[in-house]
Amino acid sequence: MIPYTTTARADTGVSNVTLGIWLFLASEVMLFGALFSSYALLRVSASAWPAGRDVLSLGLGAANTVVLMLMTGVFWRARSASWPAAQRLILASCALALVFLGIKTVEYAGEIRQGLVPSVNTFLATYFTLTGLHALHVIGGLVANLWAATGAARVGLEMTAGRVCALSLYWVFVDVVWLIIFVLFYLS
Amino acid sequence: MSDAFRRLSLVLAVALMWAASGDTAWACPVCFRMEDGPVADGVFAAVLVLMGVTSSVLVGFAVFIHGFVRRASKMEGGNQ
Repeated sequence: MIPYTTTARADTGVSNVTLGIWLFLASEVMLFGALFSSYALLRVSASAWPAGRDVLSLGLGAANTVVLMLMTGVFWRARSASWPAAQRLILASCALALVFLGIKTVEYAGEIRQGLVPSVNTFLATYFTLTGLHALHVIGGLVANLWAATGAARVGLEMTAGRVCALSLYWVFVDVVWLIIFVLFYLS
Repeated sequence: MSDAFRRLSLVLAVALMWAASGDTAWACPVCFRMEDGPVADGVFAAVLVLMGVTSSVLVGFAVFIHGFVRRASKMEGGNQ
């Protein structure tokens, strides 16, 4: 059984939580990698591919990019802050994640109202698949944020610090995936 | 040899024999004998992306494991 430690192990140089989150992120990279590979196949082989800025709302996409970056920045501040302040920062990042999801919902609603649904063409099918999966990751991260923010009373500050550290790495991954999605769908 | 292992070996052997017995070579109908064209380009791009992602993850693991080995040998040196 792997002992539940919060300090860096002498043999690995990292804590078990950090090692675990890196392994999890490696599996996530493979998941999104497979989807981006499918995107490359469909896009390159397509006879026609619409320009994202003509179909999607570049303004909402750009706003979501700023919100997500800001959210990760706020969460990274929580890594080095002392507890009551760190908790406030985590809750602020939760609010920003909700803003991101709100903007995404508004964007989806507008597109669906215009009849831009996944069955229309391959561009929209891949767009909804990738942004939908990304939004699910934001929801997952939001739940984990709340779990970290409220768990300190139960598990103590040392264990919570490990969770916050792991979550900050997760959010950077979510940001990187969003940036790739933003460039591929909104800018190109 | 356990019963489960023996049964698994038998299933694998039967599957291999079945696969080898076919007289028709199966190929992917998308890219078989396709040398040019947008679909071939698409498949090539997809393979390139997937190879890039997989290689990056594998290199990451290799660096990670190399770090473990270096750290372990350092610890061993310190203990002696």
